[in-house]
Order: sequence, then structure tokens, then C-alpha cells
Amino acid sequence: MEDELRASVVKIAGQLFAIEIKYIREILPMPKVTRLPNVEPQFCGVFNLRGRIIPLIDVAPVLGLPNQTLSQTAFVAVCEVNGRNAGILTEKVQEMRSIEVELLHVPDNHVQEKLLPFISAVYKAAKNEPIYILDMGALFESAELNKYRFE
Amino acid sequence: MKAEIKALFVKITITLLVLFVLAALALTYWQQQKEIDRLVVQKNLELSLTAAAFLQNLPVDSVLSVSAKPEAAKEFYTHLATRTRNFKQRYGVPQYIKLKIVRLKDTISEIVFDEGQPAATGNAYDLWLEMKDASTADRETYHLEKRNKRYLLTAIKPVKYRQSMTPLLILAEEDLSAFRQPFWNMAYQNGLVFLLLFVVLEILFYLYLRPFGHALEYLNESIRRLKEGKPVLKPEFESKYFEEEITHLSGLKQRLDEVDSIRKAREEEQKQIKEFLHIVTEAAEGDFTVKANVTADALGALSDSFNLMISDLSSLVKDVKKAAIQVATTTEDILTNIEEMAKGAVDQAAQTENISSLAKEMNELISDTNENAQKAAKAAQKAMEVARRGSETVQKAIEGMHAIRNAVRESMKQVRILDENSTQIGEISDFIAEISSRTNLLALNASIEAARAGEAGKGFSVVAEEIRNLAERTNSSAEEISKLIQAIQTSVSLTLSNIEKGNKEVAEGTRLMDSAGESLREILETVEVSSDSATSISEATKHQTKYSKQIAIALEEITVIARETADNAQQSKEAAKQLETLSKELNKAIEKFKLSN
Repeated sequence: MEDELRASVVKIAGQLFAIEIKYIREILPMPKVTRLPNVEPQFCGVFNLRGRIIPLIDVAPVLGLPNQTLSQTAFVAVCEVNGRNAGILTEKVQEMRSIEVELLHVPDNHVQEKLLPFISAVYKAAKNEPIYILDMGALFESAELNKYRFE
Repeated sequence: MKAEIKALFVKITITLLVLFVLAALALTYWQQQKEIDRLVVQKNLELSLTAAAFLQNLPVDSVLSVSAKPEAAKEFYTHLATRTRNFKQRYGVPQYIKLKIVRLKDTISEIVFDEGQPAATGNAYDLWLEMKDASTADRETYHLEKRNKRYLLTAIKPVKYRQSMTPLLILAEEDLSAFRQPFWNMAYQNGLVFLLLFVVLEILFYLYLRPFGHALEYLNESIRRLKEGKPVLKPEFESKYFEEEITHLSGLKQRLDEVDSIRKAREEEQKQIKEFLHIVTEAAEGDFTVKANVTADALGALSDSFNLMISDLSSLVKDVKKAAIQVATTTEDILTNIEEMAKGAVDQAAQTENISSLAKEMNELISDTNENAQKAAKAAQKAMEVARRGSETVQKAIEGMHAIRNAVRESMKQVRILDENSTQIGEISDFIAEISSRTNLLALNASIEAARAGEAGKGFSVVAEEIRNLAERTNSSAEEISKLIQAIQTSVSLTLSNIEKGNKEVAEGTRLMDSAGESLREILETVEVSSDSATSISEATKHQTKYSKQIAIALEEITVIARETADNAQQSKEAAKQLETLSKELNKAIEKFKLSN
């Protein structure tokens, strides 16, 4: 394990999350989304990225957070996990930073239940908001996201 | 003989006795009278002769002269007495004849000489009338007088001297009673005769009465036997009396038998009637369940009619009972209604009193209103003045407003231009910000790609980082510009809005002024109207006062009427109570009738 982690800090449903940079392919402003009928709320629809159809996923309901809205000021972080591509809907991309591994600690009882399976660690700098390190593998393997097959 | 017969006999005897005694006495009396007459006739002659003889022997002239001179009387009279005595002796005149010489005066007669009483000379004497008569007619008269059981017969002879009448008269007096037989001797004699007669009559009477008595006894006995119901016996003797009655007796016996049987029948009837009466009495006391026995005779018919009558009465009383109950019920209803009515009347009276007091209050309110209306009129006047002045002020203000509005319009134009320019600047700065953010994003993606490239991309990632920084700075500058532009715009828009506001305010002000002017006009109108209204209110309240007074009076009357109604209701209640009492009495009276159902 390196002593520092490069991640992109994003805000999802008001909560700061860090997505490791190795999972991120691209960040772009809100594209034109085509909604899908009869799908669960975490699937916001699909969009066209340079000729490829990428699903847009709102992980907020999966994490037990309130659903986000598809606003024009939102950003999409296109992630590739285990060969699968999906756009993660975020409110804002805060920064790209390096996080010291020593300062990470295990999620404690302050963290909500639903979040726990998808959080690999918590980064809490003094007086700052805690940043949850998202476990993208767990997220992409979760039952909620695997309801619909996508590549 | 029967006691009554005996009594009759005794009565008649006594009567006869008394009669006979009275007859004897009457006879004696009559005889005595006759005797007197006889004696008078007898002795008249004697007296007359005596008087005549005395006259012959009388010295009339001396008597005349002496009588005129009473002083010489005594001597003369003594002489005269002696003469008289001698005369009597000579002629054998009995001593019982008393001689008198009486002088006739105008109105009285005076004794000149009285043989029996010489001292009586000069005394007054009686028989003036007879003496006057005798003297006038020259006639001798007689006078019979009963004085103290003495019958005095007096012969009166007038004295004539020398052919002329003198006032003297000669009286020869005699007491006849000496010659009479005593009354009781005569009576005794008569009595004896009558007694004899009486005895004879008695015997005869007794003899006639005895068979009469026997017959009467027989009749009495027969009647007594008849009374006791025994048959009549035959008479023991031949009786002349009551023959008819004796024959009647047998007929009477038959009749009595008839009467007896009738009486028995009557008794039987009476018993039946008593029974009937008993039943009728019970019915009279109210027991209508009784029934009288119906027999075949007239009483039976009566009983039958009576039964019919009782049954009719019974049904009648039943009906009456029903009616009485209805009356009682109806009376209760009436009482209830009257109670309600009375209560309603009382309520009404209370309500009316309420209304009355309210009307009084209303009256006061009206007078207050009047005062207030007058005050309002005054105030309206003042307001009108003020409004007029205000109107003028408003006009001036409107003119000022117009000037302000023009100036404001000018500045607004300038500010709008400013606003447009700043907006443009803003757009441009926005564009710049957009570019910078895109650049930022590109830098981010670049760094991502660099990270994916690994070692080879390290230098690129630095460059990317620098680009990002630049972009950031640009972004922040652009933001600042944006902020400034925003601030400018804000102030511009603020100014604009202020100007707008000012404009609006001015417009508003103008409008307000206009409306103020309008309002003032309206106020003026209103005040005029108000003034008129106040005046008419004042008028109206005057009328109202009058009307409310009338209302008060009417209410008083209503109260009186309500009270009267209450009283009437009370009276009706009492009448109804009386009716109730009566109906109760009726019920009570009817109760005593026992009816068969």
C-alpha cells in the first residue's frame, strides 16, 4: 500500500466521498441524459459519451442518502470498475488530492449502517468534514447495481 | 140501667127541680104583684074617703094663712095635730093611714103639715109632678111607691077654697106591705105544690126511661159482641125502642165480616207495599241492583214498572258516570291549558316589561343620537373647510410630483443604459468563467489520464496541475469580476429599482394625490351628505322620540292588558277549579250508586 492515496473528492447528496483516481476515467459536466422507464431510482438513465452509451447511476439511495436531482450544475464522474463503466452522479467535484494513509481510520459508529459495506475507510482531518473513501469494488458488486446488466 | 142513662136521668131531674123551684118563685112573685094591685084597688077608696073627710074638717083658710107665715106655725101645728087626732078618733080612721098637707110651690113641693112627723114642716117633698097634675086638673090622683120594702099608697087630693084652687094638697098615705102575705110563706106553699108535681113527673119519667135503658143496654152489648166478633144475641124482651136499630145489627154483623176480610186483604197488601218500599228505599239510597218482585196484581205491575225505571236509571247513571269522568278529564285539560295561559300571560307581562325598559333605553339612546348628530353636523362643517383647504394643497403637490417624475424619467434612462452595459460585461465575464471551468475540468481529466498513464504521465500531470492552477486563478478572477459585476449590477438594479420605486412612489404619490384630491372631493361630498344626514338624523330622532314615546305608551297598555289577561287567566283558573270541584262533587255523588254491570 502506498503511504498516500490519490483520490477525487466529490460531494454526493451533501456528503464528501473520495473516489480513488485509478477508478476514474473522466469527469464531465452534466450531459444530456435519456431516462429509462420502469427502473429503480439509482438508475438515472443513459448518456452518450463520444459515441458510447454509459449508464448514469445515483449511488445516494444505495448508500442510504437522499436521492439527488439531475441538475445542470451537477457533475458526472465516469468510473471504470472491473471493466464495467458507469457514471456516478455527483453534486460537485471538489478537488483532486492526496490523502495520507496514516490518517485513515476504520468507520466507527458515527457512520450510518447502509454506508458501511461501501466505505473502506474514513479520512477525518481536524475541523474538516469527514471524507468517506468509497469502495468502488463493493459498490459495483452490490445487488442494487447488478439488477441490470451493463458493461 | 146504664150509667149514661142514669146520668141523663139525674141531669133531667136536677133540671126539672131547678125549673120547678124557679117556677114556684116566679109564681109567688106574680101572685104578690097581683096582690098589690088588689090591695091598691081596695085601699084606694078608703084613702080617698079619708082624704075627703079630712078636707071637710080642715080650716083651710087658717092653714093657708099660716103656711104663708111660718113664724106662727108651731102653735098652729100643734093645734092642727090635735085636731087631726080628734078627727081620726071620731071617724074611726085606722092609725096606719097618715095624713099630710103639702104646699105646691113653683118648682118644689113643701110639707105644710105631716101627721107622722110634726117637725117635718117646711121640708121639701116629692111628687111635685103628680101634685101639679092633680092641682091643675082638679082631680084626685093616686101614687104607689115602693120604698125600703114598704109599699106606700098615697091619695092626692087638691084643696079648693071658695071655688078657687089653692096650692095646698092633702095626702093620705098608707103602707100596704102590712097587708101582704110574706113572700116566703107563699113561696113555700107554691113549692109544695110544685114538689108534688115534680115527684109525679119523676115517677112517670122513670117508668118510661127504664125500657129505653134496657134496649140501650142490649144495643151496647150487641155492639160490644160485634166488636169482639161474636154473633149478636136475641133480645130478652119485647122492646118498642130501637126496633130498626136491632134489625140493622144483623146486617151490621155481615158488613163487619166483609170488612174483616177486606182488612186482611189490605194487611197483605200493606206487607207487599212495605216490601216494595224497602226495595225502593234501597234504590233511593243508590243501590240500583235491586229488583222488585213482580206479582199478578196492580202492585206487581207497579213493581214491573219500577224495575224498568231502575234499569233505565241505571243506564242513565252509567252514561252520566262516563260523562262525569270525561268532564273531569276535560277540566284537567282546561286547568292545564289555563295554567299555561296564565304562565304565558305572566311571561308576556314580564317580556313586555322588558320591552318597556328597552324602549326607555332606546329613548335615551335616541336623544343621545340627536346630540351626536348635531355634533356631527358641526364637525362636518369643519371637515368641509379643512377638505377644501386640503384640496388646494393637493393641487400644488400634484404639480410638484409631475416635475419630479420628469427628472426621474431622465435619470432612469441613463441608469438603464448603465445597466445594459454592465450586463454585457457580466455576460462576458460569465463566458470567461465558463472557459476557465472547462479548462479546469480538462485539466482534471488530463491529470486523470496522466495518473492512468503512470510514470510516463508524471511530467504531464505536473503540467496539468499548472493548467489547473491557472484555470483556478482565472476562475477566481473571473469570479471576482463576476462578483464586482454582480455588485455593480446589484447597485444598478438597486438604483434602478430605487428609481423605479421612486418613480412608482412618485406615480403612487401622484396617484395618491389624485386619489387624495378625489378623496377630498369625496370627503367634501360625503361631509355634505353627512351634514345633511346629521340634520335628517336630528329630524328623524325627533320623530323617533315621538314614536318611541308612543311605543312606551302602547307597551304600558300591553302590560296592562297582559296583567288583565293574567288576572282573567287567574279567574278562569278559579272558575276551572270550581268546575273541577263541581265535577269532583258530581263524581262523588255518582259514586254512591251501585250499578249492575
